[in-house]
Amino acid sequence: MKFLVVDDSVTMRRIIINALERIGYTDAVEAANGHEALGAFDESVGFIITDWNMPTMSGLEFARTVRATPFGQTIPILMVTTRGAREDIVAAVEAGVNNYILKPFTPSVLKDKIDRLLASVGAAA
Amino acid sequence: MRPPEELLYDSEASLRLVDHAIEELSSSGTDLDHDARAFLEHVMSQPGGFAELSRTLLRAYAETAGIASRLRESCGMADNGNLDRLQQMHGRLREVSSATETAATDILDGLGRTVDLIEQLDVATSLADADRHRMLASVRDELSGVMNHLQFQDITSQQLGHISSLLADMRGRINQIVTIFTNPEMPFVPDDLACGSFDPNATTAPSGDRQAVADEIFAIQAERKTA
Repeated sequence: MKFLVVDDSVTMRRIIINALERIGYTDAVEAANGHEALGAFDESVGFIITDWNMPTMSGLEFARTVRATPFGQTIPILMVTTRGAREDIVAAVEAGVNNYILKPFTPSVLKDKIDRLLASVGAAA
Repeated sequence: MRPPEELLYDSEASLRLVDHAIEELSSSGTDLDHDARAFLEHVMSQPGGFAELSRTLLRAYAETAGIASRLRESCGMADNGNLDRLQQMHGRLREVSSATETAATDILDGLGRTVDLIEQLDVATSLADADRHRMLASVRDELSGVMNHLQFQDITSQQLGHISSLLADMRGRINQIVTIFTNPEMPFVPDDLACGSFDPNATTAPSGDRQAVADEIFAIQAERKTA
């Protein structure tokens, strides 16, 4: 499974990719914002982990754009962000985000969300 | 309509007062700016000099009133919200400082425990494989935990982005005040200082409660989809 990790913080991208490797996912591409991520997004990507606040194109806009592409309608999108206001979470749901992790997070929370999302995608298939 | 005698009397009284004021100005000699004194003497020596002086005084009054008005305007701008911004910045900076210290302490603790585990592995020559694997797993967990504590960097960077935007806003207000005095006719153009993308409410506090809210919202959404 190929992961696309989108965050403007290099530190966060490395933390997430390290956590992914620890739970057995070693194939990951990274991008620093929504625009870069769109360039890296193709049919080979099976899972997206994205931040919200990023320059050029936010994670919310990126999620909306992905959902509008032919092969982006069912791909799991997990948002990892500091934005915890109820209206923000609702906006993420409306943009097509499948689940949400608040920073700071633990690797176990990341693993749990990924497992659940992949299970729900598997069940839907 | 006032009787002419009364008008004449008042005018004469006014002229005496003006004459007295000019005498005083003239006698204050060294205190009075040379150009201003020369101007007064010149004006009063001209035919219709008194009328000219009145116009000059009126212009001076209008300018003084304008300056007072701009001072009031700038005081309003300086007060308006700036105290709040300074307090927000102070709070944010304290939060960044505290988060940095907490993360540094957690990282040091994790590294300390890792060093202890490595020392135990080093001296234990006859460890069973299971024990060795358990200890190595603990080393990995500790190091992974250390890496995880580095999330503070992203969060504090957003907090600093917020402080930067507040400073940019204050700089804009100060520029606006300066413009009032230096070029009051010029319209104010705010600074376009990019402060990056940040969450103004970003916090390094444990995310448990906020995560519970997010989980609840997403659970409701999942239920709706399956219904």
